[in-house]
Amino acid sequence: MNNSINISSRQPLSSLFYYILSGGQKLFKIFSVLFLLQIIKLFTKDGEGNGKRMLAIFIVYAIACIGYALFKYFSVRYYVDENYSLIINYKWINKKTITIPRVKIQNIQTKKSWQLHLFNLTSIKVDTPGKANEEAELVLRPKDVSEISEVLLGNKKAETEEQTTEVKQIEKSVLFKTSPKDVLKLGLSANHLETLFIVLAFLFSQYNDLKDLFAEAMENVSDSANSFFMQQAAAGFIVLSIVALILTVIISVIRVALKYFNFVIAKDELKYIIEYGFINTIKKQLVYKKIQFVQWHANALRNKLQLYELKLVATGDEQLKHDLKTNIPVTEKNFLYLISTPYYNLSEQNFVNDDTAVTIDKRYVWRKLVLIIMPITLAVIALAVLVDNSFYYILLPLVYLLCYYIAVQKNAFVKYNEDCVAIEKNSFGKNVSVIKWEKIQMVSMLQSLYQKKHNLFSIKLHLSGGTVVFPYITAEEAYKMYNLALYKMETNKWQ
Amino acid sequence: MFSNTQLNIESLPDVRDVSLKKVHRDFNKVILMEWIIFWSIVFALAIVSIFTVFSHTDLIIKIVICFSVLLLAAIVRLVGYFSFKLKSYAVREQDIIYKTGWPVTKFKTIPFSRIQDSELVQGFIAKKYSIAKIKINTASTGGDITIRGLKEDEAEMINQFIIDKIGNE
Repeated sequence: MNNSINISSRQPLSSLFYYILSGGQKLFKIFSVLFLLQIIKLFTKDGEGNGKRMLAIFIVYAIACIGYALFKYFSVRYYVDENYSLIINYKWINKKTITIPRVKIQNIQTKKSWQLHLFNLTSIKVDTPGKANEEAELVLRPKDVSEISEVLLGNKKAETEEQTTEVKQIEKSVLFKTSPKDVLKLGLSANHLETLFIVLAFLFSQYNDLKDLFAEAMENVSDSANSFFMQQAAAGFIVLSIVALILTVIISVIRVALKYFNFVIAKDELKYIIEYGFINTIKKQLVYKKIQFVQWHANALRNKLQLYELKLVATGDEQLKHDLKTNIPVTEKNFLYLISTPYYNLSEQNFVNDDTAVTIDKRYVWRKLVLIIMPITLAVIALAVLVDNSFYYILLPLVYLLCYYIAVQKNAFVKYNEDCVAIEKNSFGKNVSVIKWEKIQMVSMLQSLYQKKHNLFSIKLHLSGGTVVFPYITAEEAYKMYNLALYKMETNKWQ
Repeated sequence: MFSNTQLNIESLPDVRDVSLKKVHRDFNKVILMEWIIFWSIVFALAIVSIFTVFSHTDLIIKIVICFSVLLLAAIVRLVGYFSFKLKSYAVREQDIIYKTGWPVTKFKTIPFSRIQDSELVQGFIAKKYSIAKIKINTASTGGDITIRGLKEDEAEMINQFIIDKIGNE
């Protein structure tokens, strides 16, 4: 085995060229407006002398790119020490050393974009639970990247001069792979409702404006001509909204295809290995014990088709949350349990809403009606009466909101055993969170005056990857859960 | 030796059995002083703006603005007072409990094994009354506790106890 990763070294020389390219892209993004303005000026009449200015800008731009690349290349040195910690030394400007011990690593993400492909390089990003600026990213040769990942994730020991350990390759098994059919199904079943509402709201406002315009212009035209023009305008808008909807669906399919093309999830003894990407290839390695909770959700359509989006949430700072949530498309219900097994051995039986499940009290809907829906309704009616009738349209989403609260109250439940708690907050679709007790950081109970009157509590579980709330449960159930959570947290160490 | 005995959830230690200790009564004076200072500034700003920005508006609007500020101040004081009445805490062998808030009461518990760090903080007014607060942080987002209204020496003792506990974890 090559022990180059144990010696303090710079990133490969080819990374210098990669940094010139990526630096150029970054700078172009920042100053794109300025560049465009200069290009436009170059082709206008009063663009005399702009050629020289453009040349000067280009020279400054090139120097900045080279400077950025030299800085990125020469200021960083890295190695893996004998304790399997990744050490990154930053020189120049501020001297800084980042030490990432193996135990602190949440996940390792490797990426191969077309720029990296060009120079046969791979970027490696090591996520830790700390602040975003303490995470480490390096651009290295693929063989070094795989060696560092293996050592840091504990698959094999780093070789030192004194010891030579036999390399133990851990077998990995593929859990799930997306087919083009799966990608198409996921794309078509994505939530288009939001986009539809936006498009409809826009079209309605445009239609009203046009109606007013026509009403003024057609004052002197006969009634039949007026009606003809109005019909044409209405037909036009119907066609426009259908086209907009088709476009929304096409965009969704492309977006999902780009996200989940060639998605493969595999597992070995220690971790998940997730690979995906159409243009950029991303490989994520997530250690089981670092997962804080698993969550899956599906909209109403996807729930019927048994299509889910599974999230594996690792610990991390607020800024890192996005990076530490691993989304996995799931096209069969059984895969949910199969993929989640290393976190907790789930089964379909765990999630049946039987008599032992704790449900949300009916007063939840009444409270939401009084505190949210009724005040907004009154305000909307007042605005509609005083300002404009079109404010009545706002009542439509409020009806949806009321239906949503009713659906949540009817379908949500929490089930727990000695190992974990499963919270299903279903409305029209499905939203499930599975949390192992020992992963909880803090547990709290909330009680408003109204809840106090009816002896109810809302329970809140604070985790390193987020917060999960279950509202309006009876005091007896809340205390039972609270006591069990504390017992499990206090008798188990957190990882 | 591996064992797997069944756990009787009903027999677990119940948080309802814990007798919570109220925060020090001088803390009410601290929040009252803070309230007086803050709302005096707000009221002064409201008066100044009435005679400058709203100088041409009707007298009734000026009265409404003043009344609104006073009403808001009274609500804040009322909430602060009831919240003070409810603030209580308990330090157990394995965790720390804190009850606070009105009209929504929060009952929070952090086991010592989950505490990342704790700090003792004393404000300018609190210092006059020898009152301090302890900020206890965990690795979660939003899962932190700030116990306000502790007597200085008691706060120091609790803080030291927490540090010793997490040091021994």
